[in-house]
Amino acid sequence: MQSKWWKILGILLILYSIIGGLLFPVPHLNILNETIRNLYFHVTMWFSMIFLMLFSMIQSIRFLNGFDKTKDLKAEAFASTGMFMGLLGLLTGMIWAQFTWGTFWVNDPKLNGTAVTMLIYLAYFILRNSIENDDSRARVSAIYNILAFVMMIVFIGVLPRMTDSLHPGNGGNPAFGNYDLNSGMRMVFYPAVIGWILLGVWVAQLRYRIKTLEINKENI
Amino acid sequence: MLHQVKELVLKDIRLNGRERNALYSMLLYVLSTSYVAYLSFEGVIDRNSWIALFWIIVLFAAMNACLQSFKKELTDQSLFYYTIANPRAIIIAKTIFNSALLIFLTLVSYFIYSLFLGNPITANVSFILCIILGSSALASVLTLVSAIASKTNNNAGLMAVLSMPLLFPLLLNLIQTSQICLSQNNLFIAGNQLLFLALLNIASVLLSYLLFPYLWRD
Repeated sequence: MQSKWWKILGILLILYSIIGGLLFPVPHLNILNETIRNLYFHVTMWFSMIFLMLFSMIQSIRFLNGFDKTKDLKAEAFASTGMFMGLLGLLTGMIWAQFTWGTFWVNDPKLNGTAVTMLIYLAYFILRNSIENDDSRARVSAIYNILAFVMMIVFIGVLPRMTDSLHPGNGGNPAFGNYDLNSGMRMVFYPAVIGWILLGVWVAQLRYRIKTLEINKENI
Repeated sequence: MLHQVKELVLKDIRLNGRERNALYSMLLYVLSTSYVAYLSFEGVIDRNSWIALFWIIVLFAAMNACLQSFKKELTDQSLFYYTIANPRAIIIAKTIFNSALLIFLTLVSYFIYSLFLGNPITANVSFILCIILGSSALASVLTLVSAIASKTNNNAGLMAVLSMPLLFPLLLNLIQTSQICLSQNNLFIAGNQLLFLALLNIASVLLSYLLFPYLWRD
């Protein structure tokens, strides 16, 4: 991952999605109107968060096979970047909800699931900070990270589908994959997802390098 | 492995039988909270609050019960025992024991609670099934979390922080299932929810089985 091309590609894709997302034509639906453009900015955040958390879990599994501490640092970097993406997804979703539902927050399975996911990952960071010993911190937090990812998939993937929800994509509400996401929107949406994932990986990589430098400095 | 699990479960039962105060304190907790609920609601409570309060009481009883599970295992003497036993056998035995304990506790609290606050449940079979699956799911998640929390200094505080978000959807599901049990006396309507509880059980036991050996080796 030393090469530059994927970073440039990520930036270009995000620029394209911002310009295209604000200017390209979108279908006109009742209530949603122009807020449908939020799809390019809100849903992509969740996609990239889930991918970053997946990478974080993979690093944790790799840590448990061989106890290489750099893997643990990578897992932490991916998790905190993913957490940041999740926070942005929450904010964009709340602004969208204010304009379509009339309120920032509703008691809804999908929203509850994401709130709980945020809490689980906050607990992960608290767990990391509350263990003094380096070795056991890495081990215990790797285990909790795997548990957290599996639970997150259950909460935001399985649980909201079991009940009705106000959120698009549930309970008969339109969402992507349905009639409102026409091929024009797909042309912006998928590049945006890839772009944000690439940017997220880049941020995580920088964070990992900073952490490594800090640890090296402490050890000198 | 199975033999070890059996011996470890029997060991836990014997230990608990010898020091009964832990069990008694949990029963007293259930009794006193139910009584407080009775006093504060003056015996009249609407059905949704009944369900919510019941599961909150059960949740805190479960957290207290499982918090202790790895306390004894951290002394040097017990570490010797665990050089003999397989770590996977240890976590499975603990999960079985905690599940049994929690199913017992929840059934007792159901009895005590409905004694004080009445029993609005119509579908008793589904509700008992929901209690059994729900408390074993609580136990299997809490056992792994208490194993994680036992590795830190601030055991009790961290236990709450780590387990609350993990248990929140389970609790939500239990409340929904119980609400179905209020009105519909039909096993199939609650079937989907019960299936989810069973799946959550399997997933958390599988995760404990896979992850605990890494946690154990120090």
